[in-house]
Amino acid sequence: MTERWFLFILLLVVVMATQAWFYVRVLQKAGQSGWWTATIYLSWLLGLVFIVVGGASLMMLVSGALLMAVVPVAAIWLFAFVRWPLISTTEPTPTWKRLVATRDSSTDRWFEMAAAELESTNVDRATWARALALAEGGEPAARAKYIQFRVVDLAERERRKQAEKVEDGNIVARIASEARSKAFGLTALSLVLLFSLWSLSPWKLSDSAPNPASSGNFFDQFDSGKTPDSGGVASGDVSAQRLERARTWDETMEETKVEAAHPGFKRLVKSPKFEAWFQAQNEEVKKLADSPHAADAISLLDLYKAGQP
Amino acid sequence: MWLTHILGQVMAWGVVASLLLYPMWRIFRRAGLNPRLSLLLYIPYMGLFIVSGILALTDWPVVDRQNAGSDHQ
Repeated sequence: MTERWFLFILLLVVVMATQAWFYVRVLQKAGQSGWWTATIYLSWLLGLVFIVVGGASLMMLVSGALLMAVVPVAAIWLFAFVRWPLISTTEPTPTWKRLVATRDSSTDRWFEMAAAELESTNVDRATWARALALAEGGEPAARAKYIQFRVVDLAERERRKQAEKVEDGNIVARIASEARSKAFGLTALSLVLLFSLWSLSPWKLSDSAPNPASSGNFFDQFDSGKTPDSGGVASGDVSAQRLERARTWDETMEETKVEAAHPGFKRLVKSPKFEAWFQAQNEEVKKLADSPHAADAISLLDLYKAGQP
Repeated sequence: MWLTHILGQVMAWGVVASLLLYPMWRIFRRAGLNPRLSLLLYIPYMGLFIVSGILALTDWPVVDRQNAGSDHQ
């Protein structure tokens, strides 16, 4: 794997991981499980498998591409329209009509409490006063109104208690994750930015170009037999780097051009005769070997061949 | 050649961004943020990353309003 490919994949992984984290955060903010993010990445993985495994089949290729494109888009559409539990956690205030129609342990308990209060005369005075006022003095009607007001009041208290509990949990969780999340997000963004800048920067380009100061030359990459201590013109590290670079697409193209101009040049440059001739040349000529361009290598080989009897 | 290639990719991105614009607009509105931020989707390659970053890293006004409402109860 070349340095450029490695960087590209590294950048891709960082971007994808950050993107996944963004999705998780958004889902959690809305009260959904962050695991839904996995559907997008699984669809990409599956799509990739379809494309790689069934590359020869058009149907598999199209299915893979569709899977990779449709699922993320569909997921975003779905998220836009589903209920967001955390945003709409507060239940509506319970109405008397609904409470009368509901039969569950809580509602029954509130009715029992209201009835017990009436029987024990230990009533909630404010509620009793309201009931009396609305019943216009009639006690049986006031008792009925009391039960109504009291049950609604108890239900409302319970609702608030539950809402506070949920809210407390949310706030604690939110505060705890906020600082951590922001720090992680900013770090990831900075990394993405740095990698982008670095991979596009002129320093990076000059770094990947051959170093004229080094003792290696264009042809070292084909001389796999040389060792760092063999007295060759390149060190082991430089040779390894050159070999790595030689596998890039660009260099393969350059090699093809040199091969077209000088068939069998790889064998030629390994020969002791060429090595001896090369070592005897001045710096200007040696610099031709440091160039990554085929034209320079061809010139060098032209020079060599012109000097041969 | 490379210009055609890039133009093709940018146009394909435009199609994807258009498909995502309405749901993103709705998501921003539901979160209480300015829905016009979803137009950032049209930035080639990085649009979705930026938009989801905004949604993930900003405080949602709708949550703040909700918290304020529960405090006043």
